Amino acid sequence: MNPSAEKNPTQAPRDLTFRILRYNQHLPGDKPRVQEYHLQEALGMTIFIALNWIREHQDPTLQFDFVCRAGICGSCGMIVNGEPRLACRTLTRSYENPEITLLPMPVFELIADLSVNTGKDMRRMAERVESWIHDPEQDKIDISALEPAMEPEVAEEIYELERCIECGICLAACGTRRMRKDFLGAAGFMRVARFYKDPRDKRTADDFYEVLGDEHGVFGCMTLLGCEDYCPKQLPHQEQIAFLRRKLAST
Amino acid sequence: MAYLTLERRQKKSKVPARLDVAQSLTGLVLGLFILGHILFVSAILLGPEVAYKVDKALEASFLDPEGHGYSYLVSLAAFTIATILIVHAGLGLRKFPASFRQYRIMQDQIENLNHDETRLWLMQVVTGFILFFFGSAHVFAMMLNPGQIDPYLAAERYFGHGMWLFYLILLWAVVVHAFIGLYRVLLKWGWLCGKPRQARRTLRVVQRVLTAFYLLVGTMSILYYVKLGYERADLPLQKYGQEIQGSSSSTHP
Repeated sequence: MNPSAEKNPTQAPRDLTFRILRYNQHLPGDKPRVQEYHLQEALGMTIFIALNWIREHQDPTLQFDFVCRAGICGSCGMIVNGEPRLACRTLTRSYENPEITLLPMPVFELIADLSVNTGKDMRRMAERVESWIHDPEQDKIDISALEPAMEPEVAEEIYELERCIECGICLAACGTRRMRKDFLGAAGFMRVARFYKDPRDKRTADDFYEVLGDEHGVFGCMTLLGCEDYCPKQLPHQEQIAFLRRKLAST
Repeated sequence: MAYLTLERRQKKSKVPARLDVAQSLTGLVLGLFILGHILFVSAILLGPEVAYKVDKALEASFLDPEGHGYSYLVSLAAFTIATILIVHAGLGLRKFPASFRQYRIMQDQIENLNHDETRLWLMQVVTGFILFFFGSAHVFAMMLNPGQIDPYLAAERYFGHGMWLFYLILLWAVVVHAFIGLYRVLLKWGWLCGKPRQARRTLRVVQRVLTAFYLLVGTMSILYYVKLGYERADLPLQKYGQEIQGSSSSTHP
């Protein structure tokens, strides 16, 4: 079914042109090129819906990632008209110009077309910041006993930082990360801030300094604030990076 | 099982933290200095007499029984600013793109991303680069020529020596750089009042308004000096101080 079946009664549907970077390095002889696709806009159409329609009706070879189509899984990050966005959270009608250019996110390893391997980078990030509770006494904890209660405010604060979906948009929006590939980036800082605030993690500021205290870590951040302004979950990146900077600078 | 962390043989150096703090602090001092400096210079808009009084007051003439002030104080201040400027420039250099490849990536990022803050950063790099030369030249000139701060001598420099263009470039570069820098240093360290996002929006407005105000006042001061220099072009060169002394001695022979 053409998605334009669901029409806006007051306005004729627009004809959209998608200019999409096509390149599959795993196909011998394949060269990067921009391919155009045309379709009619539908009411409430997102980039994600449009891409699925293209794949279903026009080009089954087009590769892109998605799982949840609701901004939760963080799979469909891509560059829409120059800006990193989640395809499933970006309405086509938010673009006045009916020509929309889609590119894969930079920074990450390209799988093919719009599909990039964010998982690999996020895994590396998690290992680098040791994204788990550190407690030297953990073997003495009686796991059959009830855990001590946490203050609701603390739990909420941790939960707020835990909302990161690892879509990688903060890294694609970060000029520093693009320029310097060893720079940790906002997703990593958010993760550290999350453990910093968790009372169960016994790491001190000195311990976190060992993780973040250099030019690839928090002192390399040039406050370009792409992370803060493009994060699809509106996580408080600027606030948390400033928090880490203050804490680690005073160690 | 203790920490899952592997034992590290060596602790990380604290130098990156110190450098980051030093860059922000030197920037903060220079930024606040320039806020005052441009306002003092723009006293000329109220006439040479006010400018002369401000110049003398800054040379601590109120401590001098003869009322001349101590012009070496200006050299001392310029020396201090020059030192801070060199440290700040050296630290700022670390943030410059280190290769053509990095520069191209940033260009690409700025062209594609419709993002104000990333553009602000590039403006910091460009204006910072200009200030390496124009800022240093200015502070060294002030340091090495004490006693030359006077409304008429300044007017001669602006017009007669054709320095107006130098000062115009310096003014625009320093005002843009200082206010972007002050805005960003507050965000960088989270020195904000109230909710961070609201505070950032407010600060951005304040930054724009102050930039416009300082550019306006600074540019008008330069124009005033050029006008004063033009009017005095055919007169013998003398200090404003000498003129008022001369006129007072003629009325009281």
